[in-house]
Amino acid sequence: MTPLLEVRDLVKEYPVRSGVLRRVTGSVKAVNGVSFTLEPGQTLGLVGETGCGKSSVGRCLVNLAEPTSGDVLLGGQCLSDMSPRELRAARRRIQLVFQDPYASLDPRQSVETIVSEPLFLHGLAKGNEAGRTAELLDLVGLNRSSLRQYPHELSGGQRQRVGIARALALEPEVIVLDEPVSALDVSVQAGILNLLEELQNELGLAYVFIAHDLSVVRHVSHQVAVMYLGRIVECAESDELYANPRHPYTKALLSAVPVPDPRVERHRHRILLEGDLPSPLALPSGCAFASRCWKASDECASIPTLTSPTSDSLHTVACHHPEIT
Amino acid sequence: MTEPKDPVLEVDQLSVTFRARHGDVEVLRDVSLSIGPGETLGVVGESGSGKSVTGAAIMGLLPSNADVTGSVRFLGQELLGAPESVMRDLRGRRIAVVAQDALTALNPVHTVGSQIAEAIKVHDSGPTRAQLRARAIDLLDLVGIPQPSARVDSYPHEFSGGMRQRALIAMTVANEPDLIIADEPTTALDVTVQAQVLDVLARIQERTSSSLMLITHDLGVVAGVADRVLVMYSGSPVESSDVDSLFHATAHPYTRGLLASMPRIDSRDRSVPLYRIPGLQPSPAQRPPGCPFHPRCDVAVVGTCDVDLPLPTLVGPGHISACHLAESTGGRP
Repeated sequence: MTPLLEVRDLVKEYPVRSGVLRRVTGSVKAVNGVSFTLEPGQTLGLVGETGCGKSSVGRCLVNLAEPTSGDVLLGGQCLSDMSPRELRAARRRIQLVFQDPYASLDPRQSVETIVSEPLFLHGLAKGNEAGRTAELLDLVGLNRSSLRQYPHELSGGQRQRVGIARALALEPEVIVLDEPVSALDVSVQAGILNLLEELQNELGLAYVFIAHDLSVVRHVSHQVAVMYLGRIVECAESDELYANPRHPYTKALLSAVPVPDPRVERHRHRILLEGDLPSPLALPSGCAFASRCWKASDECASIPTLTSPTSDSLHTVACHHPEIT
Repeated sequence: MTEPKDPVLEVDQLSVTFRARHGDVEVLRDVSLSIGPGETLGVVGESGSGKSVTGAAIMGLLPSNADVTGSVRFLGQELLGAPESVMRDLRGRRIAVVAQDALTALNPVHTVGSQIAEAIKVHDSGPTRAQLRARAIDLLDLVGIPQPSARVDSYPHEFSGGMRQRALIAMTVANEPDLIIADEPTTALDVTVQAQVLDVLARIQERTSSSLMLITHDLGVVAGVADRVLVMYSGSPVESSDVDSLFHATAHPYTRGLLASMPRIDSRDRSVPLYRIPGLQPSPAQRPPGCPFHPRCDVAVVGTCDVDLPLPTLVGPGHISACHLAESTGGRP
């Protein structure tokens, strides 16, 4: 069976320019061979720290950035093989919600214009654009009186709901959510997370949920992929990954997340990582995490790690010395 | 030295009103707190709750259009209304601040070492250049900067985000202050870096036995670091207690709502959605009458909560809740 969304060995390089003539003097591999699949109604959580390439993956998925190599397949069809007309149709099926709802909404457009614009661009709900726009507002839990409002009159949570309504306008099958709640306070964040879950259950949406907050990712995801310097180092079903992390980086990352319970916190052991990230301009030939890993051996520095399944075939890890559970 | 039981910082009924063109805005109402020697107080609240203003008011760093009333006593000395010369002597030496954004807090055109040395020199003209340099290297080592003797000559832009925050902490603790006020010291950082920075703060506190006031929006950080917690809402303290009681004998509906709205890394129950506190925190200019939380509260009583401002009530040993429904255990808070 063809998966809804499949990413095969995705690579995204950005050129580095220097000197007066701005000549290309090198390249940064923001994404370095990422592969995953996503089924309808499922959420894949893509987690990692600043600069790991998770947002670049998101941008490649919606074709905002062109992959250097590798394929993004939607319903078995490769985006890079599509004609402009086919690509336009494919864009309807995969939509993006940005992190900062304030920066991604035009301050001079009313909520009605923002949400209905995709309908006009794609010729949907012809003649009934206003009705459909009002429906979309109902769907994301916004009052219809907001139609005449402008982004600055809305709260952060309401703005993010507008961003979600705009993405839903084209009835997509997949929504890429890039840090959708990280700019919000916790009490507001909870409302958006619940809304996303309701929409998924109601409309059968698939999500690629990009975030740095591991607690939020656990809450929303069915499957979680952990990224480090452009690669997925570990991927598993959500509960399995959080219960049995196999990659040392995942283990360190999970141990660093505080739990809002002092009694639990007192008995937790934090793994403090030493050293700094290697420069993405000159990635080491072996495992990129070796310079900070307490389990690293000689082979880790020189031999690249391969993604291999563990005893649980859905749980894959790219490490020479995975944790044994 | 003071008696061990005397608090390092005692804030009583601190209120701050900003005079503005469109009328006065009371951003802080009757904040009372105290921090003992070596103790860590977590001050928690969402954006706009007044937690940062509390820190700035204690340090005397509010703009000139702020009217401050109440009392701030540091080691028994009243700071409100104290002359600027006294405050200047205390700031950076006895009370130090760790800012949120280390990149803007550090000067880009001076080396990290010279900035740390300056923090010492301002209060003590005794040490020679060589002594200052050695002290800077020692401090960078203390906060876990690798190769401190080489890094002392680096500029802030040559440091990663986490290293900058640690360098800033080194500068803050250079004079072994009695009180450190850290305003969201880890908010812009990745979790693994946050863990390093919190570890550094804990080690420094152990070594210098400073008291710490940690201002944060993250209840998880508070659970791991604080001894006592103060929860703020719309400019007022709503609950304060020791850290265990706050999380396990939560008294105020707002604190309960905050805890229930947080997804947790150590469990996931798919059958229950997260609790969502309805509505929004009011801005200080548009606070509702009565309890500021009553329009969002699921247990609010009509005729009481929307009319009268709840007074702080003692609900357990050292546990105060500002709620009309709090069951008083008697005694004065």
